[in-house]
Amino acid sequence: MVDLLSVLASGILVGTVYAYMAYGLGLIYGVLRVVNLAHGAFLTLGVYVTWWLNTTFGMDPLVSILITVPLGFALGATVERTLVFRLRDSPPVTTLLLLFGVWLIVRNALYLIFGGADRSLLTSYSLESLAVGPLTLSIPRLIVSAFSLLGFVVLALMLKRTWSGLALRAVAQDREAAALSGVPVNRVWAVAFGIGSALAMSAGSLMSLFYSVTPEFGARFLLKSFCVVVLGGLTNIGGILVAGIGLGIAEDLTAFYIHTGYRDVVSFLVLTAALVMRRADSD
Amino acid sequence: MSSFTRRHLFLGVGALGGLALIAPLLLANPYSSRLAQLLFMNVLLASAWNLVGGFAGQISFGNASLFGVGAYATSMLWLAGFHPFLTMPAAALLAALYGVAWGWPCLRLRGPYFAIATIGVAEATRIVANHIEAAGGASGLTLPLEQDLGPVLLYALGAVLAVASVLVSAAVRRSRLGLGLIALREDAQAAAASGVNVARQQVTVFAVTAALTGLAGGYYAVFTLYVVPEKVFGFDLSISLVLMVLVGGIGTVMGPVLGAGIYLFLEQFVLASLADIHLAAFGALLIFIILLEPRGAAPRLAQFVRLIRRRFG
Amino acid sequence: MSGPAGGSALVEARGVVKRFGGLTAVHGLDLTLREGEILGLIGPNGAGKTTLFNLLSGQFAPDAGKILLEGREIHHLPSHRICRLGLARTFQVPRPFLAMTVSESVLVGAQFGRRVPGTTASETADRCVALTRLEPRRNAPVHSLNLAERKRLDLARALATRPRVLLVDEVAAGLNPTEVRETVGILREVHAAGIGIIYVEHVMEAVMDISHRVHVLDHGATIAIGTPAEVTRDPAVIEAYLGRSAGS
Ligand SMILES: Nc1ncnc2c1ncn2[C@@H]1O[C@H](COP(=O)(O)OP(=O)(O)OP(=O)(O)O)[C@@H](O)[C@H]1O
Ligand SMILES: [Mg+2]
Repeated sequence: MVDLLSVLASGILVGTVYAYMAYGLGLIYGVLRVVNLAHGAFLTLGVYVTWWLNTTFGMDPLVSILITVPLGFALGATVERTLVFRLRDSPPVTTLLLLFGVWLIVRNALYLIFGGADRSLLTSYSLESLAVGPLTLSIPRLIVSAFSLLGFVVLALMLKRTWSGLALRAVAQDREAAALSGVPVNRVWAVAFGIGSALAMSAGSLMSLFYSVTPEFGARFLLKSFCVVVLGGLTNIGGILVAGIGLGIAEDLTAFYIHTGYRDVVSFLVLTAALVMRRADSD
Repeated sequence: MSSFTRRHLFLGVGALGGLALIAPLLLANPYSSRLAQLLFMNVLLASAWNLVGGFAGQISFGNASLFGVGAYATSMLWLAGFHPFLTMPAAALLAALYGVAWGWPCLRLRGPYFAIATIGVAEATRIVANHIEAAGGASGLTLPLEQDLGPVLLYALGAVLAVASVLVSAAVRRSRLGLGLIALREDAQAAAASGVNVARQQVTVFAVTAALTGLAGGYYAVFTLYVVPEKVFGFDLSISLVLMVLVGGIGTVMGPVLGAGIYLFLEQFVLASLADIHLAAFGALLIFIILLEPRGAAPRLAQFVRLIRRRFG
Repeated sequence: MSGPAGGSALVEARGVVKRFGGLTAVHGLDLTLREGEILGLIGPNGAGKTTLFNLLSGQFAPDAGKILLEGREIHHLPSHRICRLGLARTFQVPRPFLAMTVSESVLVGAQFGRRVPGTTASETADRCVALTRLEPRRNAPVHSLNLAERKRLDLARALATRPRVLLVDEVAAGLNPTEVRETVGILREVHAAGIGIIYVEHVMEAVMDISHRVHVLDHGATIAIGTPAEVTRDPAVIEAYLGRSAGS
C-alpha cells in the first residue's frame, strides 16, 4: 500500500513536469500547424545551458530559468523566421523533416562541445527529501513540480489577459479570419514558436535537477512530449496537465511492477494508441 | 493496364547482366565488396521505403522495426541450422506480418500523425528487443563466421534483391495499386469518393514495403554476421532511409536508387573524414534539400539526360 | 422540361440529421431522387446542401436517419463502397489529383469505381474524357488546368466510376455564360445516358433550366419541393432564398 502510494506520488510529481515540458509542442502545433521535431533540441539545450551555468558560475538551476526563457524565445523565433517561415505553404511533413534537420545539427553541436558522457548536476538540495506521513518525497521533485504548476498559471494568464495571448488564440482558431481582422499573423507565428521554445528550454532547466545531462536527453523526452500533447489535446492546458500526470503514473507503475527497462515503452505505446484513437482529427 | 511489361523484364535482366560484368571489379578486395553489399542493401531499403513514403505519401520513421525483424529472423533461423538463403523468405514474411500488425492501425493516420506514430512503434520495438533474452538481449547475436557465404554469393544475392526491389517498385508504379496510391496521396477523400479503398491500398503496399525491408535486414545479417538491437532497430537507420529517398527523388522509381548511391558515397567518402560532424552534415543536407531541391536529384538528372540526348541524339 | 412522374426512388434520405458541435447543418431531412430524374437542390449559402452531399456519399455518417440507394441502406458504408454501389459526386471546390495527368485522374475513377462487365477501364475513361470535352487536354498535367477544366475533370472522374446516381455540386459557379451552357449540355448527356442527378447550384438559369423538380433547403430543412415554375412562385422560397439573393 505504501509502495503504491509512493509510486503514485512520484508519478504525479514527474507528471506535472511532463506536462510543462510538452506544452510548447502543443502550442506551436496549435498556432502554426507545425510538428516541432526540434522540440527535443530545445529541451536538450535547456539542460546543457543550465548545467554549464551551474558548473561554471555555480548558478542554481531555478535561477537559470531567467536565462533559458529569453534565450529559448530568441532561438525559437529565429528558427521560425529563418527556416519554418519559408515552408508555410508546404505539406506539414516537409516542415517536420526540416525541423528534424535542425535537431540533428543541435545534437551534433552538443556532442562536439560537451562530448557524449552522461553528466549530472548537483545542488545543495539535490538529495534532500521530505517525509509526509508514510511517504518520502524528494525535494527537487517537489520544487520542480511546483515551478511547473506556476509556469502553467503564468501561461494561462498570459493567454487570457494579454493582447499577444489573444492574438495567439485567434490565429490558432482560424488563421484567415485572424488575418482579416488585422492580427499580424507572421509575427504571431514567430512569437508562438518563441514561446514554445522558451517553455521547452526552461523545462530543460527544471529537468536538469533530476535527469542526467546527455546529448540524447531530448530524443527520449521529445517522444514523451508527443505522447502528452496527443493525449491531452494539443493546446488544452487542463488536458495536458492530466495527460502528463497520467503518463507519469503509468510509467512509474510499469517501472515498479513490471520492469524498469520498460518504463519508456509505455509512452511509445500510449502515444501510438492515442494517435490512432484520435484519428478523427487527423489530416 | 499491364503492370509488368516485357520491357521491365529486359531492363531487369540487363541490369543483372551489367552487375555481373562489373562484379570482378567490385569483388577485387574486401572493402569494395562491402561497398557493393551496402549499396544493394540501401537500394532495397530505399525502394521499399519509397513505396509507402513516395507513392502513398506516408512518411515512415519506423522502418528500422521491420529491418530488425528481418535481421533477427534470419539470424535466429541460421543459428537453428537453416541455410541462410532459406531464411530469407522467413525474414520477408515475418517483417510483413509485423508491418501489417502495426501498419494496419497506424495507416489510418495521415501526414505528421502517421510519421510520429511510426517513431513510437519503432522505439518501443527497439526497447523491447533489448530485453528479449532468447534473442541475445542488448548484446545481440553473433553468427557463425565459418559458414560465411563468401563474397561472390553475397554479391549475387544482393544484386538480385536490389534489382528485384526496383522492378517491384516499377511494377507498383504502373499498376492499379500504384494509381490508387498516388490518388490517395494527392487527396484521400477524393480518392475514396472515386472508389479507392484507402485503407486497403495503404496496408497492401505497406506489406510489400515491410517484406522488402525485412529482406534487407536478412541480407544485412548474412553479410555482417552480427546483429544488435541498437543498430538494426535503431532510429538512425530509419532516418537514413528518409534521407536517401529525399536526396534521390521521392515518389519516383529511380530516385531511391540514385539516393542510395549518393548516400553511400557521402557516408563512405565525405563523412568518413568528418566523423565528428556526421549528424550535423546530414541535418544540413536535409535542410538544404527541403528548402532548395525538394524533388531530389532524379528530376535534375532526367533533365540532364534529356539535354545530352538533344545535343547528341 | 418534362420529367418522369412517379418513377421509383433511386436515392432516398429519411429523417437525416447532421450536427457540427452546436450547429445542426441538416435537420431531419427527407429527400427523394427518382429514377431518370434531375433533381435541383437549391438554398442560400450555408443551407446544408454540400453537407447533404457529404452524407449521401459517405464522407460523414449521419447522426440520425437513413439513406437508401436503390432501396439499400448505405448510411453506414464508407465512401468507396458507396461509390462502387453506383453513387458518385463532384466537389464544390474541385479536388484534382495534382500530380497526375487528365487521363490518369479519370482512370482512377474507371479502375476503382463500379464494375460493369463488357468494357475496360481505359475505354470508360476515354469516353468520359470525351464527354466532358477534355479530349484536347488528356495528356496535360492536372495542375495546368483552369477552373472550368478542373470542374469538368471532377465530373469526368465521377462519371468514370459508372454511377447510377451523380451528385453535382455547383459546376457552373465561377464560369462564364458559354462555359455554363457547355456544362449544362454535358449534364443533359449524362441524364440521357440514364443516370439520375442531384444538382446543387446557385446559378439559377442552369438549375431551373434542366431540373425536373427542385428541392429547396434552408437551415438544413426543406422549405419547398416542386417543379421549377412552382418553386420560383413559392412565397417561402422567395422570402428565404430569392429575396435574400436578390438583395445581395
Ligand atoms: N466540416 C464541417 N465542420 C463544421 N461545420 C460545417 C462543416 N461543413 C459544413 N459546416 C457548416 O454547416 C452549414 C452548412 O454548410 P454547407 O456547406 O452544407 O452549406 P451549403 O448549402 O453547401 O452552402 P454553399 O451554398 O455556401 O455551398 C454551414 O453553417 C457550415 O458552416
Ligand atoms: Mg456548398
